Amino acid sequence: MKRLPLRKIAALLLAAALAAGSAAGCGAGSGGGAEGTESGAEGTENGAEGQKVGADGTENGRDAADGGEQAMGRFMEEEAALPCEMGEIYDIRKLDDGTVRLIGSDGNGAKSAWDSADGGASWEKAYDFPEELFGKDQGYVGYAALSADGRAACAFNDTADGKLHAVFYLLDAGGKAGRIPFELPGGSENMALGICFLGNGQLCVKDAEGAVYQVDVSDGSVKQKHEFDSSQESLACYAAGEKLLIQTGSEVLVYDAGSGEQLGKEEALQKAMSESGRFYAVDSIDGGESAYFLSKGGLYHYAFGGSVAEQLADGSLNSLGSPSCYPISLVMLGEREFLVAANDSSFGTATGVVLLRYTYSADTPAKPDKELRVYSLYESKEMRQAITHFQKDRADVYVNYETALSEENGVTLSDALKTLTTEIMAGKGPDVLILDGMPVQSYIEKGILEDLSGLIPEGDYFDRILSAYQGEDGKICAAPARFSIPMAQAASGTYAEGESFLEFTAQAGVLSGLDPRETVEKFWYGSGASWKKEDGTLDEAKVREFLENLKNAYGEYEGGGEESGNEAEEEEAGDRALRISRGGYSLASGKAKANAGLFYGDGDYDFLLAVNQMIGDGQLGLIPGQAERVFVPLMVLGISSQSAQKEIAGQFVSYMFSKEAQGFSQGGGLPVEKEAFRDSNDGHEYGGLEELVMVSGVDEDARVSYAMRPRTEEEMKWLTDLAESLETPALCDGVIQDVVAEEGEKALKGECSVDEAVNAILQKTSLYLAE
Amino acid sequence: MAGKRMTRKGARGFFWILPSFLGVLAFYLAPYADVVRRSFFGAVNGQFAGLENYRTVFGNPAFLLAVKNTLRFTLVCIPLLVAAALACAVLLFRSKYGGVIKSAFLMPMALPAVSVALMWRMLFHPNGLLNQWLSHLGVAGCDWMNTKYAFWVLVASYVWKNLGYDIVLWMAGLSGISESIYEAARVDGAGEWQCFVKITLPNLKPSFYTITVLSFLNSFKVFREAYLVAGDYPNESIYMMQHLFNNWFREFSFDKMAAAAVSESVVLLALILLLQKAWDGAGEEEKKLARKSRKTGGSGGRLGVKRRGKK
Amino acid sequence: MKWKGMRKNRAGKGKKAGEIFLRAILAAAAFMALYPVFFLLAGSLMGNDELLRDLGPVIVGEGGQAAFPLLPSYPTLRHYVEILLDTPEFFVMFWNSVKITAGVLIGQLLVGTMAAWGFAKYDFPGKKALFLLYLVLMLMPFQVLMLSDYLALDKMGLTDSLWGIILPGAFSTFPVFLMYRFFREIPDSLIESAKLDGATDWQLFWHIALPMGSSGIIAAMVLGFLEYWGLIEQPLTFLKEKSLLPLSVFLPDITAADQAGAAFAASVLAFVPAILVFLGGQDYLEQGIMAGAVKE
Repeated sequence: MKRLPLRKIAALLLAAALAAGSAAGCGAGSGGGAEGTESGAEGTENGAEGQKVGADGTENGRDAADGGEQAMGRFMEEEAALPCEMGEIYDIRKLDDGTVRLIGSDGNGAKSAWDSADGGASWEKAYDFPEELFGKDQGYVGYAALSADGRAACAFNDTADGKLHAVFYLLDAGGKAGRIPFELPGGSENMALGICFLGNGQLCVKDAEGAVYQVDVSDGSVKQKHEFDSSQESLACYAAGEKLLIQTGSEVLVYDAGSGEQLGKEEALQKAMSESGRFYAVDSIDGGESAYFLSKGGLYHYAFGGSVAEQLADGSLNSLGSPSCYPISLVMLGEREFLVAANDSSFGTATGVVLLRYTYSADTPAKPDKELRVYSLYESKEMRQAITHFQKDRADVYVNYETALSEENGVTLSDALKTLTTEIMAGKGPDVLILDGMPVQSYIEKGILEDLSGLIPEGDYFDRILSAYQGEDGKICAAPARFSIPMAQAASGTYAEGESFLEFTAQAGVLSGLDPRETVEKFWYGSGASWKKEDGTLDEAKVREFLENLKNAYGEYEGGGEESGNEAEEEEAGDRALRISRGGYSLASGKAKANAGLFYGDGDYDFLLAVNQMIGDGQLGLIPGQAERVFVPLMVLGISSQSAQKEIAGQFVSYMFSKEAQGFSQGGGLPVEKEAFRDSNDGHEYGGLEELVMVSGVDEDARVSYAMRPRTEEEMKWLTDLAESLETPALCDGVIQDVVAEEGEKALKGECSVDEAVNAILQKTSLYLAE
Repeated sequence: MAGKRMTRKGARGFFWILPSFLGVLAFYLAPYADVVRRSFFGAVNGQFAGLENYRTVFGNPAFLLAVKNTLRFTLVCIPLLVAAALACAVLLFRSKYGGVIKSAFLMPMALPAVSVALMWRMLFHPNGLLNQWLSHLGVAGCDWMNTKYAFWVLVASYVWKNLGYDIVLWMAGLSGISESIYEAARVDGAGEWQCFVKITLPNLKPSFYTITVLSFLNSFKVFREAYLVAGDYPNESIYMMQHLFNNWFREFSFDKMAAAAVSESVVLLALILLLQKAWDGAGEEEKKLARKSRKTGGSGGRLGVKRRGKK
Repeated sequence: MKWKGMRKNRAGKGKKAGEIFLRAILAAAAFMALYPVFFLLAGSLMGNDELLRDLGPVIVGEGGQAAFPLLPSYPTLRHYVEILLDTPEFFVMFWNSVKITAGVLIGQLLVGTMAAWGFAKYDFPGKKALFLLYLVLMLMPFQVLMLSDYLALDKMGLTDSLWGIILPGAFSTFPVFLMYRFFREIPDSLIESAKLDGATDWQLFWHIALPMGSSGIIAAMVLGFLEYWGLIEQPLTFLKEKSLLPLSVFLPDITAADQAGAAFAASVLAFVPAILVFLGGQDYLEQGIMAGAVKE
């Protein structure tokens, strides 16, 4: 309930993308509601993943008994050719005659079917979808599915009359289309969120209300109906021969397609799912006696009624386990080869659609013999993505990525650090540390971290950012791979680029209406670096100046309002909650006079410039803080001096600074490598496409809509120069940050005086700094 | 006495202790020896540092504050608890409903620390229950955990949690005093107060040692609640040794930690020896008293209590 | 409190009034001691709406003051259902707590009683020093030995295993101290006469020490139960695997408003076994503590 606002934004964004995308043939995110829940479920899955290291414990055990020889055989991943640059893949399937057929749309939105006689190596167009039915003006294809005899069914969202109307078409093997006389209940409120062909030729449709229908395609009659409510939400339906599988939030239900009756509980399958997360795709090559399942855990094979779901391919060793990978469809070409069509932005294709081929290699060790442990307090999608790619090049290395503070385990920062300390001291600590949130300086002083200089590959970096932790002896024991910039934005009368803290905060009430705690934190990022005195204590005058002026700029606290509770909840998201884009809505709608926060890239720039335009003469620049030209180091990498595998750790760290790894962009910060920095901000992906309009906002009156287009040379130069000019690393100290945020919040809310807050801050931090 | 002669008895005595001793050796003594070693070496690099760590620690303001607070806490809490418990014990001892009330006092002991911490937050939050009650009385509240009152909150919590335990201990002591002594005194015309001062207190001396040691032991446990409520950096008035140890640990300052720990154990040892000495003295006295009382009165204390309660 | 009472008594006037006054004070103090228990119980039975209304100011930091009636207006068992049915981790943690506590107590029973008996009734060179050592170790805060303990456990391969919590607990010196004082109580004459009858050392321990010391042993066990049922630092330091953590570290995040009820319910559920053991063992506890405390 509390997470609503974020969800809302996501849903709105998706809905907007849908509305806009239907025109541009960009339906990649079709099915707003379902997608929202899926990404929600993901967070929980990730937790499970960290724990699981290969499921074939039994097999390994056996091999160990054979004299310690390594188990051999692993599915190796490679990217397979697509028929053309695809905008979307709806489905892909091996037909009865052995051809592999693929249906999807090309970059321009034209929908076709392609055939491959050689298992996906080369493609030949089979037919085009009839333009008069599937034209852009008509609407968009939500889902489409192939049957083994070559027929295709299509859940089409007709938007011709301005309202959404879900209709279903059947295309025969040659592409001749006809309407299936089946309507979902609920009219324009309802649409299909997944379809598949069952072995008996029936079409299975899952709708937005959670019901799953088995439809006879010839007359549209409903043969079976399976209903679900919010207590057991259905997420997707899959077919395995004559069996219908329904994936719910917590289990996989198996039904007999003919009778519609639910079959046994399939405990082993549930167990596999509870370990690896929900299944994304299913295929069967023996008519449904057994089936292959795809999840974040990899590929599983399960014979119905059996006692074990065998993990054939380990997702943590290939793209399947990557957070950026969303499998669309699975095709088993045989027992030792399969294809996966997926949406995965990390492959660098324009639309994110990729086709992956997995071939069994009998002479590759089943598990890499070396394990590299990467430890981080917080989850990072870029890191997961990078690990996936790193492992692909290094079949002998398994990277065990561990994040200590997931949302639900309730471990506090302090506990996590203590555990880390004990492990490092016992010599079984991680090899690579992501130091965000850790006492980096103290670690460097104690000699916990190796010197990294020499590991960072040649390249064009923002050097001052890269050397944020360079010691006086020239050693770089920690280096940020990413960063964010504390920035501010307001109308030109309120804020001018380069304005000082005192000038800006002299305007009483300029920050009023913003969340007090977040405001303190944001400005603290821009100021904290100037607080430390030579002797290591905090400068009281600076702290006082900070709070007094901030209080003036903040004005009277107007009470929580309905959003305060939500705000508190989102603190969990860590500093991402301070992201500058989040304040853009209030600024655009006039609810707030200024917007400040951390600039993370990944869409921030487009959005902020749009806000600037909306408020007329908007100004964007560095945050007016007591320190100047501040940046926040992110994804700070370090190698443990206790690591037994410094060489591999070094290679990994090197890789993290390579252009490829720097290029991954999922909102985790700006890359320090300049080319990647440019790529992630210049909107080149919109080049050549018809203009998309992005509409986003928390509610009706705070909505920002803007065209997505490549940024101009001038705009990019401004941003690059800005990044280039940064020189002061923010004071990244969780303890001080917490104290300042807590006491500052009280001062801004008027719960205590500025004096009291200053004293409390000094008192608490002096203890900390004295230790 | 020991070492006079190695009898068979001697060897056998150690046999009883051996299993326990081996465990203690492995899980407590060996680690402790490691701590002592570490106190003379660098934190991570393992270089010999001599007494440097001790020098750093004793010049460290955070350490000095923690020592001050820990001492202050101990000096305030233990006398307070021991005295309050004695008062309650004396009162309950003569009361008909003593048993029930005593059980009530004992209840907090069984509450898990997390639950206590949960309570604390509710009570002592700036918008919490305590301030609300106070506002009914027209008294302005404050942010209890972030002012110097935090210390008294900690004291109250400690007394609250351990009062029942100490009451039971004192009552045990009380029941050991023979009723006949009191009767003899009363015959001599002694008042209640005189009885208390002249008979009760001296007779309770031996209990005093156990109670103090146990109270002292329990005073360390209060850190749990303080930590759960106020975190790593509480108000400076409740910044204890354990906070410091915790924080040092987190930042790999094992050198300082070990030096401080060794210093602390030296103080503990001295304290115990001191207490034991006082206690040994008391023990002698008590033996005399006990002999006297055994001569005069036969039955145990409990019956006597009941008799008097009914009067 | 005490001195006030005493003075009243000394005054001798209105002895009855004085008694009533004293009792009232004691009853009030007892109520204060019990209040948190009521509080947790009541809180666990309140619906989320009611909790939010009453405790909102504390939980989510809204303005206004918290209020807390002693009785829930609309009692509900929802939070218990939530924890008992929808939180599988709860049972895992509960079971871990049971394992840890049982393991420690059995260990203390085996090893601790023997050691206490040895200390109480035998003389051998260095006994005093050894006992002093036990005392000092008993008083050593956990944080002091944390790292070295971990390294030792790691060498023995006991980290990330419940044994890493159980074994150090089983060899704790505290029960030895408690039971020692109790065994001292057993009259030497009894032992001497048993010896004359030809009893072996083992028989002495089995037939005299254990039965006569039973209440002291039980007292140590009850205290041990309370201690290890509520263990926090050790599991957090030595156990990394989440599925091994005991109940004592389970406290849903109360700052999330919809978790407050669950936190209360979890507290109560963790309290129940403790209170049962406690009530069951209370008499022994008293006797046990008493015996140790009275004479030396």
